[in-house]
Parts: sequence; structure tokens; C-alpha cells
Amino acid sequence: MMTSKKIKIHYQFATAKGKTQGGSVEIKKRENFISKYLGVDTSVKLSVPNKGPGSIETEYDEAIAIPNVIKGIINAEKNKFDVAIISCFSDPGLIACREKVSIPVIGSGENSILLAGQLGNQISILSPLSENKETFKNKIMRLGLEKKYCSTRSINTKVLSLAKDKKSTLDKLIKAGKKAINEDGADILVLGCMSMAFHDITEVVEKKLGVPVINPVKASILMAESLVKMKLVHSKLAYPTPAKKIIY
Amino acid sequence: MSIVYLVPGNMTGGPYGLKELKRREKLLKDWSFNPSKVKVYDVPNGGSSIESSYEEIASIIPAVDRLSEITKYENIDAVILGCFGDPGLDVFREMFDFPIIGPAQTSMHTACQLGHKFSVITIFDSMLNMAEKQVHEYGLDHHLASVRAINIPVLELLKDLDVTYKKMSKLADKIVNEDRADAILLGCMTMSFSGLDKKIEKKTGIPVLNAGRTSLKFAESLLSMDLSHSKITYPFPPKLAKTQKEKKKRA
Repeated sequence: MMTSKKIKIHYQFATAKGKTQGGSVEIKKRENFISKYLGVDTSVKLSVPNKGPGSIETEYDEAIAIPNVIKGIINAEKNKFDVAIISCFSDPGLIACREKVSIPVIGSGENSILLAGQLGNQISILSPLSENKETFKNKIMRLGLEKKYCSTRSINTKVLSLAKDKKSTLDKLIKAGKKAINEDGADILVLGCMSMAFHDITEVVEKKLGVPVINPVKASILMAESLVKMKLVHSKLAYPTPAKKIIY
Repeated sequence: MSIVYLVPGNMTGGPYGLKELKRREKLLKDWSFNPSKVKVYDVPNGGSSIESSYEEIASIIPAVDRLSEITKYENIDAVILGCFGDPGLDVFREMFDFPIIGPAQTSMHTACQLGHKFSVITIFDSMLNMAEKQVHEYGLDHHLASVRAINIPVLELLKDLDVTYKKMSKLADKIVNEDRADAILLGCMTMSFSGLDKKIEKKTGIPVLNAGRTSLKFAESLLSMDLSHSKITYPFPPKLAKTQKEKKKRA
């Protein structure tokens, strides 16, 4: 039977999205998108930092964002959320959060790459900028999935501008996806940026290109629900709790 | 929406019987978001258990044929292969468009998000390399801590759950202390359906993945996302497509 217990998801933004131009509209759009994919007994709360970069495009941006992410997720555990999602494809602070808390923490990037690995053999990631290539390569190496990694194809658009223009983002994604399939040999694609994913164009891209396209937002929500239902949390041997110490 | 769990052998006619098949169906329904849609089938002309590569290969074609038959009267949305060897995963994916879930592939990928290194508990020592080979094939070599065998035949795992639990928990201790794994996979569906996963988890303090439950959740996730495997990776066999087309023409 259906359990009556509600699953509470904490959805952690890594960026100070609310401070960016048109940010509050974008946040509302994201909330609506997420609620479309929630299960009947699931609720979600968005947590948006007041500080930090407006978008994450380099490891440097990530480093600035991480303390806010950690703070948000520690609070999520305190406030009795069942599971937390880090809403950025670079998974800023994922490992640190897993060390610090005992609720499952899902990295949007890690989760979608591992999902892609089950549906295809040659994964290509569609990224906003060509600079993302290096970061994504590092992530693949950390995951030990080099064998299944095909390429990263960028659409050469800054995150904040791609969030604004749905039509041109769609066109560029299809173009980059075609190159990934025809030139690099990809058989599965991953949207490597939340701003792409929240445009809700995944199915269109998929239909145009004929290969599965992973939307990291949907994938993270479903993994969150699955982990809670399975009563599974990350291993504390892998992510040991940091000793309490004075931070000078 | 219907999710079919296909036991690739003859469970009904074997020692576990229809009762066990129905028990598994009940457990899967309990774990499901949509219980009425979960159905368990077996393969009447299949073997009784899979404990070698030979038995694994032998199970594939009868299971594919059985599934084709089921598709005639069942509106299938996703299929879980009910064996940790993921027997014929690629074959099924070539033949069918709906998602085919391999319990090993799914639980191994899930384990990668819960720890750095996992260990698999398999049935016999003679099967250690089968599990290792799977990990290589899935490209997850870096994540494997060890494979250890419980050395109880599949068809005896549920005979005395105390004995199974004792052996399993002994192995789990070794896996944690000697192999340095930080997650454990129950590498056999009968183990996964034994109900011992959470008990071992409590004892060892590390996540223990029940391959049946993980597969069901993954199937539901894929359906919610409207995703299936890549047909570039798993194209329908071209020669077969040609003969089917010609047959249709003649008819």
C-alpha cells in the first residue's frame, strides 16, 4: 500500500539566483518544473543562498559557492528533511556535505552521469561553455567512468543568458547534440547545466536526436525519492563524519 | 503502466514454487509507488536456478521468447530481469524498446553514489569471476572492493534463514574489515528477497543494496522520466528486422 509518510526533499541551489536579473521569475519557474515531477507523497523546498555567484562556470565559482551549499544542507538535516539535492551540475560541496550530514545528498551531475551509464555506452555532456570540458573530465575521472565517457560539447553560451532564451538554447543544444552523435560517436546525452534542464525542452531534443537525453533535475528528484523509499543513505565509511574542531 | 519482473527460469515448477513467486510479487508491490501495476512472471521451460555462465546463457533465449509472448497480452512499460547476472541484458535491449533493467547494473551504479567501493556477495566461489566480469563490462572497475561467495546454493538460501544470515554477516564483517568496502550488494535475487538486507546493514553500519528493490525504484524512475536505453547502442538485429519485414509483406 501507499505509505502516508511524506518524503521531504531539500533542493539546494548553489547560486544566489534570487539576486540575478530576473532571478525571482527563474526561481518560480524552477519550482513549478520540479513540482511537475514530484511523486504524490513528496514535497520539496527550494533553498536559495543570499550570497555567492549568480552562476557556476568554473572551479573558482564553485569554491565560492560551496560554503553556502554546506550551510544549507546542514540546515536541511536539522529541519528534518529526508534527503537533499545539490542543484548544480558541478556538484559543488557534494563530498563535504556527505561527510557532514546523515541524510542522503544527491549530486545532480554525478547522478545523471551514473544514470546515463546504464542506458548507453558513450556518454556526451552538453555544456554551456567550452571551459566546462576540464571540470567535467575531472568529474568523470573521479567517478571512474572514463571507459564510458565520449565527449563534452559546448553550446558557447553563458549560463545566465541561456536561462533567458529558450528557443536559441534549444537550437544550439540540437546542433551540439548532433555533433556529439555524428562526430564523437555518442549514444546518450546529458544536459550539463541546470539552466538547460529547467527549460523543459529535454523531450524535444530527444525526439530530434533519437538518443536518450538525461535531464539532471528530473533524475535527481527521482533518485531522492528512490533512496528515501529504500531507506538508503551514503556509507559513513566512505564519507566519515569530520571530527569537531575549532575553526580559527 | 505495468512493470514486469521476469524470473528467467522455472520458479513455479521448482522447489520454491508458485508461493515464492507470489511472495516476491507482494514484496515488489509493497515497495512500489503503484502496486497494482507490478507483475511477476517466470519462464516455464527455463532452469531452476542460475549458478554458472552456462546456465546464464541457456536462460536467455527462452526468457526472450517468454517476454515476447507476454507482450501479446500485457501492456508492458518496463521489465526487470530477475537474476543478478543480468542474463541477456544487451539481448533484451536489442529486442525490446521499453526499458530493461538489470539488477546488478542498477545496484552497482546506485552503490557508486553511496560509497567509493562496493563488494558483491555471490553464491559460489566458482562464480566470483562472473561477478568481476560484470563490473568490468559496466566500466566500474575502480569501484569494486571485492566479490565474496556465501557458498549456499540458491535453492537452499531460504531453507534456514538463520544459517543464511550467519554466513552472510560473517562475510559482511570480512568485507568491511579486510576488503575495505563501504557498501554491500546482495548478488543474487533470492538473497535480495530474503529480507536480510536491513539486518546486515544495521550490523555493519554500511549501506546494503537489495537488488530487487533497487531495480523496482529504477524502473519507476525511468518511467517517470520517459527514458529508455539508447537504440544506437542496442539496435534491433538488422537481419531479423529484414526477415520480419518480408514475412509481413508476404502475409
